[in-house]
Amino acid sequence: MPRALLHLHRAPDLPHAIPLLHVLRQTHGWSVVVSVTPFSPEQQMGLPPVYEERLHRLGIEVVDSGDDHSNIDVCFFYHASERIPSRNNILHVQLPPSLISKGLRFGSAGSAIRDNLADVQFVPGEWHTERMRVRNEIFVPIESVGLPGLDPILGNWVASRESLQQQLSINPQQQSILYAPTWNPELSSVPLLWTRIRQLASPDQVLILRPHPYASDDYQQACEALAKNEENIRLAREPDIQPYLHVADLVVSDTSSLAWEAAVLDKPVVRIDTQNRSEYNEFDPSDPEYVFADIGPVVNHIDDLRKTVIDQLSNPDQFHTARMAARDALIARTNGTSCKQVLELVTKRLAGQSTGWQPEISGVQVVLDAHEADLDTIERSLKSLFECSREEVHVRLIRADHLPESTLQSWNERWSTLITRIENSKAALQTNLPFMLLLKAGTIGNAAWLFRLVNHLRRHPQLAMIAPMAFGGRPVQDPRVRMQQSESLSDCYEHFDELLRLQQAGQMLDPDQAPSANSILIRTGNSSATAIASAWLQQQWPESGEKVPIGIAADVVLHFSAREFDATDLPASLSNGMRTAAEERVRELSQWIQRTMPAHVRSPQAAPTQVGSEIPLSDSLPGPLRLATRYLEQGKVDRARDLLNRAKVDLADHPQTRLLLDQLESVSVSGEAGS
Amino acid sequence: MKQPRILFYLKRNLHLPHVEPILRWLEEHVPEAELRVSAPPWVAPTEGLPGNGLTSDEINEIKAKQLNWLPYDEIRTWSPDATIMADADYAGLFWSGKLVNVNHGLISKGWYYTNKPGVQRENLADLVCVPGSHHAEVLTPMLNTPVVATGLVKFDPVGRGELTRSSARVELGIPDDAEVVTLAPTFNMELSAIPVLVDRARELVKGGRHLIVKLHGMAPPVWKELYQLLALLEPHIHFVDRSDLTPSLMAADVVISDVSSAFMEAIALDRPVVLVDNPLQTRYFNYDPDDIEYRWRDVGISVKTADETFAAMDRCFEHPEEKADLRRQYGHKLVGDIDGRASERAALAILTLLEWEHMVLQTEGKKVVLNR
Repeated sequence: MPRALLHLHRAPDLPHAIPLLHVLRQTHGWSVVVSVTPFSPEQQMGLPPVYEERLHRLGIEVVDSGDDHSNIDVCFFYHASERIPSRNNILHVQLPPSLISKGLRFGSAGSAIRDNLADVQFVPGEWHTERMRVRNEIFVPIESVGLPGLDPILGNWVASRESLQQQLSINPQQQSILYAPTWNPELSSVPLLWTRIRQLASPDQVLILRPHPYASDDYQQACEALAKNEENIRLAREPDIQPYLHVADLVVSDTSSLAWEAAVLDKPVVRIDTQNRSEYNEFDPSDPEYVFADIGPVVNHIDDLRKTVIDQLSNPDQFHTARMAARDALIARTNGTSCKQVLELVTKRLAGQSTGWQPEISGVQVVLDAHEADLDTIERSLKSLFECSREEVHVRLIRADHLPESTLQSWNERWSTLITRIENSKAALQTNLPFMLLLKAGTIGNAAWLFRLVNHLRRHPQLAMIAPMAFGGRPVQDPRVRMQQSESLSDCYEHFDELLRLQQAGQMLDPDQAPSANSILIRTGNSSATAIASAWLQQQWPESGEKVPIGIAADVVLHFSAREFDATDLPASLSNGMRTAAEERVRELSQWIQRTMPAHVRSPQAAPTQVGSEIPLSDSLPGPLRLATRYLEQGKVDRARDLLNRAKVDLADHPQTRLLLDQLESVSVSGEAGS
Repeated sequence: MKQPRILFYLKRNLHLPHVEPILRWLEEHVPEAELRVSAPPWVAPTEGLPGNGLTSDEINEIKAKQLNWLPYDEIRTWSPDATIMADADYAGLFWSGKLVNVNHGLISKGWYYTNKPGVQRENLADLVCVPGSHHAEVLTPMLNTPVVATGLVKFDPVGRGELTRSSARVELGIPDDAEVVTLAPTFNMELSAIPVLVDRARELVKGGRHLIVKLHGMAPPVWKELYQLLALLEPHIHFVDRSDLTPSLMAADVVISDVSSAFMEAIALDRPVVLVDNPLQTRYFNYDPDDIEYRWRDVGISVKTADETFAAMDRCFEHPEEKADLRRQYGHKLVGDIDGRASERAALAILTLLEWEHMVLQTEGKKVVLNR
């Protein structure tokens, strides 16, 4: 009987998961539990209380993501995160939470690292599959299955429109307009419309407001107030989106995935353009939301919105052809059987039947140095290699004379493999496999770590090897640890870090700065490989000269070395070359730490080039004021003025409105004086 | 009669010094009691989010101390009569028995010892032990749970004379006659002295002084790396990586901190303090000027920049008696008498709660009466 764990990392995952959970429970032989990332609205993670309550109403056991999941056969998830169990023998299935990308999915820059964490990628349509194949950064199988979250509507399991209208107190003669904006400040129409969206409500048209679960509290409260006070406005309170989509005659949105979900259901869509969308950090014009932008009219002003909505309601077929073209490309199944298809494929795989899913496993020769390591330490590394690395590894132990034969035998039995002990260390370095991992006992990795390291070399054929950043042959943690963590939490971290990481990949470094003495992954068969492997064996690094193309193990370095922060592992005294490297490192770290400080506090040598823009904004401000504050700081006066003109109406009583208007006036006056 | 079972539950490693002395006292005086140590499953800290539980190395250290380890999954089966913890985060405690919080901090940070609704969560405990009279005065009117001021448990080795200025210096390899500064900042970017001082902290050792750097357990890894490197480059900089702060404070002549409870501990130990005001301090999401870490800043010299810090440190060395009266006044409110018997008072309060006082082999102090 297959046992499934479904992990929910972000709130929008839940509406897509509900249909799958229903099908899982109804499918004979399956059992399912759910785990949830702890709620953190600041980081857009976890489920807000109303979503959590919905989950409990489903009657499915919610387990702690830190629990022991040793009895799980398959883990479904929408967003890869460190909370997903990482054992090799769990089938990791990534499901699609939307049709669009927002620069974060389906082969977008930076997504490949996370997407390779799955054993199989389920995507909605052939367009997504093709794009990921062309980009050639995903090394796991990709299957188009449709969008499971739409199954209830496409398969007619959702309640009838009449019944839903009754539940929402909508008169059958009234038309329904669903307003479903996204949450990102640069993409959301909320700052533009705010409560003026009420102008769409009338005795003939009911407006259903669907605030994004991560929308600001003040907007959520504004929606509550509107629904309470306005006769023709309703609030979509339930996390399930399907009933509201089903009942809607038209959807108003911006760059929310709901716009495209409505389009593939052949509902008219009116989108609101946000003038600052190109400032969105992950903006990528090749994403589906821009390639399939013609699914409906796009408006720029509230004044045009009402007229366009009325036009579309009276002529709903105007964009039918474009919508159907998007449907053909973006969704592989339109008969409401995506959930079933997912389960059939997974069941087949679990039963050992061929699915054609084979990740690009190359085979890695591992040379594990057991010198002075106790049995527990060696076993820890072996466990990490055999159970979490997701690579086919062939392990040779060197300097392992102290290892009892019986222990070696028991490890071979435990992992059904042949770990060989080799006395001649140099001989252990000979291999025909394409990659060789040189490892000190005690080093461990996190989920799929070796597979991801090998992928890094695959993506960058110019690299000879990959290793943690180091100086003097000693491992030190990269100051860009934030970006290393960003693999699972990319939404939370600055674009700056991401750029640095990309720049670092493939950089030429002096051999005395890299690689680390602890662990190196080498591409075999190149001129540097033999020299590097020999140096690793002797723990002696040449002081000078030749530069080696190396990748920083930014993908997995977080736990790469178990001894990274052990001060005793650092040398007691530094040679001249190492001292220079350490001083440079100190300067670099200090600059990095001080980046958020105001200029007067910074050390003279640590002052970075950009001042001011990195100081965090107050999150407590309503969206329009938050944006206006930022624009003023950036000198984008026209944009700030536009927002403040609206704020004068919508947020007239807010103290920040007056403050910003004064600032705007003084900026305008000084600008005129200057000209 | 059933043997009493007491569980010491560590949400994080830094809680161990706050509960271990109580465990040791019970071990000695209540031999019938079964004592165990446990922790929630390990979750690594990520940027801005604290971790949870203990690493396997930390668990091994506990085992090496001959403390009885109980895996988390077995707690419910073991069914403790009382669970002792040093934190007010009671989430995930799905087993029976009384619950006692022997608080680990001295300050508020907008969360603890403050007149805010969140403090009501302390009512989930059956007994709250606090370090000083100040904390009891704040909490007693707000809680239905009994609140007892016991003193700061982890200061017991100081009170008993086991941990002294000299013994702490010997352990760090610092001469007895050296001038020593300890840098003990908090971990939040908006509150900490670290972004203000960064590598300029090395200027603190000019003129032959020694600097002990004791970072908070949740400090970002880059901070740790920076000061580890500085300790390599400067022989007079000592990077301390253990969880207990007290020895680093005992070894110091002057302490530099920010809004960390380290500065409160320092004044309780009568060390002059320099307090760095991070310029982003008021942007901290839980900033409350009424908390004691802001109200009591007159006990030290407040500074805003690295240069001001160096000048203030020199002043502390020249006039160590400056503000000594305030240190004594505030210090007593924070931890009471440092007499080495806080763990005994906490243990007796726990036994009184459980109505097991009769099991104590011998007591030297008077019984603790619970406030209500």
